[in-house]
Amino acid sequence: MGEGALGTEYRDGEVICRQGDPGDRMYVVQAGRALVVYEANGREIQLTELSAGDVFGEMAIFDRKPRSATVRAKGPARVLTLDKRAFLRGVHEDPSLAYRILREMSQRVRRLSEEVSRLKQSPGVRAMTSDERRYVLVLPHEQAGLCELLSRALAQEPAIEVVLDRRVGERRQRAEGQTPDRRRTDRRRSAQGATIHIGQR
Amino acid sequence: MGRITLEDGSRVAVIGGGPAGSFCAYFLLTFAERADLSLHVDIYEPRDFRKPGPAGCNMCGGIVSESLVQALAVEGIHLPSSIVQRSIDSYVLHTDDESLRIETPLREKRIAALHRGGGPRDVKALAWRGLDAYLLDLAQERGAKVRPIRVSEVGWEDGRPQVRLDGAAETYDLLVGATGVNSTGWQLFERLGLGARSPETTKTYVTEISLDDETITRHFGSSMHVFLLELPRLDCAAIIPKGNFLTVCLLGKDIDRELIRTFFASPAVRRCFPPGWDPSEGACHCSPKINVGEATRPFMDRVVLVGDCGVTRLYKDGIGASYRTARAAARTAVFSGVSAADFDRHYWRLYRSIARDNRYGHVIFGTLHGVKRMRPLLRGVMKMAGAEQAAARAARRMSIVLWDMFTGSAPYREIFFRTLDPRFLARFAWESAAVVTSDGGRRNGVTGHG
Ligand SMILES: Cc1cc2nc3c(=O)[nH]c(=O)nc-3n(C[C@H](O)[C@H](O)[C@H](O)COP(=O)(O)OP(=O)(O)OC[C@H]3O[C@@H](n4cnc5c(N)ncnc54)[C@H](O)[C@@H]3O)c2cc1C
Repeated sequence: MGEGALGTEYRDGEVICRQGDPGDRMYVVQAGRALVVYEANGREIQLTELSAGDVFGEMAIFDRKPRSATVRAKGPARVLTLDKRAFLRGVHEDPSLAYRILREMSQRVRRLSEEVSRLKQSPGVRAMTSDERRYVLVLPHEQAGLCELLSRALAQEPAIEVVLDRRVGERRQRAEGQTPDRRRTDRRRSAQGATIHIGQR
Repeated sequence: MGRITLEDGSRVAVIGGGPAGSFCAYFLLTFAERADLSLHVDIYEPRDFRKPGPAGCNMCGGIVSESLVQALAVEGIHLPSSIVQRSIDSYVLHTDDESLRIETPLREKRIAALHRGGGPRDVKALAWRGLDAYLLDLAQERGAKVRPIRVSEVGWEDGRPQVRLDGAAETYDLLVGATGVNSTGWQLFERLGLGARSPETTKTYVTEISLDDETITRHFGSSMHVFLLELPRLDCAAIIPKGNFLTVCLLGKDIDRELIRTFFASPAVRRCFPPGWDPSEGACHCSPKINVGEATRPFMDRVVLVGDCGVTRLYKDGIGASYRTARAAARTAVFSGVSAADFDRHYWRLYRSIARDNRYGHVIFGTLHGVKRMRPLLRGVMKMAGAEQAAARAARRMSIVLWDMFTGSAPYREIFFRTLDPRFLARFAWESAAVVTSDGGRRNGVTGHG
């Protein structure tokens, strides 16, 4: 990256901000990509990917809570840091300065609402099938990234639905071990096609 | 009192397509879109910013301040590396005796050094775009029309401002003045009947020294070089490294040839260059005027002034002041109205706050002149900042005061009050006294080699 590049350069995988840390600044991606991941019980769920022009870290500035997720570079990335105080002072004097951030946040809320309604319509694998669906691909819940990738790739294909198996291990085992047949028939009843589990032990 | 507002199809003339004019057009059109208003905006700008040399350049140091880089990023305007010649993360303070590098706590490159126009007269290959062309393009992308004309005649038609061109006249609902202080633009506003005092200006000096990229990187790095020299009338002197040019800027009261010569001959300046190099004026040099006192009244019904032809920040961040005034005027015009009363209610406050802040700026630069003349005090400044740089976790009171002062990152008022902090004063007094009791005092304390 040349002499004229503004911001800080991060190597692939380097953490830009960490979940749980105090949020005293926000960031704008200048070049490259960054991953937003949520860490829980030693596991990571990838929430989204950011690219040039995307702002992140603004939530902690508004709600004064610790960082809600970790952001790290995906490949080499360059990120500009924005001071919290200067930003808030500017917004205090002229609230229209926050317009673009508000717009980004509302887009994010919209995306999340869509996601929530999708999940609510499909509480388990059972209700997820519909008459037109021929195949349901079920991925184990630790494969959230793959699931998102596949559902995006297969979005235009009405015959296939990609879903995440959100049941915890114990329940899944019981379901599979004790009443395998009933489970299969249940599902068959609503889906005329097949349910394919991927990558399950 | 009748309300005068912009309606669907209203027409706006922006006279001058420097940063202030381009920003104003950009924000007029951005806000209009948010308010579902369709506006027609013409920018009158005779310069071709792609041309090298003075014909394509609004002469300046070419520093885009830290605060402006951040503000623009929040707006979604990202200065691409094709226009930023060098990103800056630190500065080096030079006195006759010593040099000190000061880093920001964040150590991030947040200041942009760039060319305003098509580059210096002796540029070899036009490999970049200047800031003014970039901003004008941004306004055009938003829908503004650029008319390559120098406006020399204006008037009124049915209570609306008019731009009079050869054989034709264009009537507008709002006229934005953005002519800077290096033209006869002010006469236009007088002709429109704006009964105000024009900005107070003084002559400055800029030159571009051609050097290869590698030498610049080795000797100047990614730092802005600031000189605290005890030269009369010189308030501020800086060398700003760019791609393969160094921009030298001298600001103060009527900078003349003698002062320029003394500056280049000073040991502090010579020390920065490679051994044997005799620094002197480059092929491209100019003496632009700078605004050092605001126009007294920047608006009337359907007319508003933005950028340098109204108010700017003393010696610092002029492009940032152009952005702030242009944005505030555009916001007033779109969301409130274009009468004098609207500008008085929604634009005047920001304008006055910049002007008022400059009063503190004058006090600070006056104090700095005094400090430069008293060697123990100047050494006290350097020692205090040096100690802060050496200790990782020390409070960086002096470093931050200096940083904000030379980069324009904070209002002068804030800097002024920070220097009144008892802890700052105590430390400064201590460091200066230490200088007197060791070597400096014996050499009489006060230097005078002006
Ligand atoms: C030596 C020096 C160094 C500086 N260094 C810096 C720095 O490092 N960083 C910084 O932020 N600021 C700096 N400044 C300040 C900065 O240059 C100005 O604040 C900034 O250029 C103001 O922008 P503007 O658009 O108001 O005016 P200008 O940049 O002067 O633009 C005015 C435009 O109006 C056009 N115009 C004029 N008359 C007419 C007319 N009649 N019809 C049509 N068009 C017309 C001109 O062609 C020009 O393009 C410096 C200034 C000087 C003098």
